[in-house]
Amino acid sequence: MMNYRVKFSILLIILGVILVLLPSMKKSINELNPNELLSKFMDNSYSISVDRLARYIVNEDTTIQIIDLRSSEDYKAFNIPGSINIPYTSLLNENWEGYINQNEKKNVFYANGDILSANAWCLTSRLGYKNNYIMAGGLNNWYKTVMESKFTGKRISPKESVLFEIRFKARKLFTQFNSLPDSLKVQFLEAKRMEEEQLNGGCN
Amino acid sequence: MKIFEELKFVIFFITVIILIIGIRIYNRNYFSHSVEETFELSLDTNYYLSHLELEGEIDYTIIDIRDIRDADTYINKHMQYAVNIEFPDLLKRTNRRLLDRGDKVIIYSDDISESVKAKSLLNQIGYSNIYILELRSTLEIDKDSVCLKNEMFKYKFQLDTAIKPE
Repeated sequence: MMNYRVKFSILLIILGVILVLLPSMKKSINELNPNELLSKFMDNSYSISVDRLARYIVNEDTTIQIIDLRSSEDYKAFNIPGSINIPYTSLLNENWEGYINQNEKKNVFYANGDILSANAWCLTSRLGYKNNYIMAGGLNNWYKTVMESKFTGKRISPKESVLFEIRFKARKLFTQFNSLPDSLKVQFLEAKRMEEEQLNGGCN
Repeated sequence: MKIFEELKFVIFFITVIILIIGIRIYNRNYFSHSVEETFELSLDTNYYLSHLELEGEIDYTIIDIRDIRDADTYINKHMQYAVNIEFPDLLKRTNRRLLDRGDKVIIYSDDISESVKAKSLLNQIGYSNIYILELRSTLEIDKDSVCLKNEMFKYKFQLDTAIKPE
C-alpha cells in the first residue's frame, strides 16, 4: 500500500503533464464568441485601399506581408510584387498558421475581387488572429486604379501629383516584376531593395 | 466500505482532472458551426446569386443589411420586398424570426464584403440558408447584368517584352 505522499506526488506529476499539454488547445480558447465577432466585423479599419498598398510596395515597407489567395496557377501568371501565395482552399492548413497568426507584420489578403479575401478575413478573425486586413476591391481594383489610371484634369495638385507618382512607380514595378522569369523575381526584388538603400544613404 | 476507502483516492484524482480540463477549455462559444464547416460553406459558389437567378426564386426572405440612417437611401434604393436589418442588429433575437422564415435568406449590400461578413457570421451561428445577392457597385437594378459566381479577373496582364534581366 502506497502512502499518501507517494500518491500525491504521482497526482501532481500527472496534473503537471496535463497542464503542459493543454495549451495545444489554445487555438479554440482564443476563438471569439458571436457578439465579439460582430463587434469586430463592424470595425471597417480592416480594409486597406489599393493606393495605400501601392505606397507600401513602392516604399518597400517591411511591416506588411501581402497574401495572394488565388490559386497557384493564377499566382504564377502574375502577382503583386513581394506577395506570398496561400490559396484560399488551403487557408486552414496548419502549414500556413505561422504566416497568418503572427503579431509582427500586417497581413493584407487579396484575390481578384472582395469575396475570397473577406471570407479569409472572417475566418481568421473568428480564430482570434490579429493583424489581418484586406485590399479593398482586389486585383480588379488594383488594375483599375494603379495599372490603368490616367490623370485627365487640366492642372494637377501637389497631392494628386504624389498619388500619381506612386501609382506610376507601382505600375512599373508590377509590370517589370511579372515580366521576368520566375527564377529572377527574388533577385530582382533584392537588387531593387539594395538600390533603394544606396539612394537613401544606407549601408551595403 | 474498505473498497470505497481504497477507491477514494482514485475518485478524487479523476474529479480533479475533470475540473482542471473543464476550466482550461471552457469557452463561452455559442457558434453552431465550426471554422472548418464555415470554411466549407464559403467555398460553395451556389450561395452567390445574380439578379437573373433571383427572378427564378419563389420562397425566400430578402434582407438589406445597409446602414439606412439616411432614410432616402432605403426608400429610393431598396429592392422590392426587402427587409432592412442593419449589420449591428444581425444577432438580435427579434431578427432571428426573419432569418428562420424562408427557405432561402438572401442578403445584399452595396459593398459585397459586408454581405460576406454577414453570411459568414450567420453561417457560424447555425444558418446554412444564407445567400448573397451580387450587386454592382451601386444599387442600380440592372436586369441585363449577369453577375459571375466566381471572382473573375476582368483585365489582361500584358507582359513587357522589352525588359531584359540584368
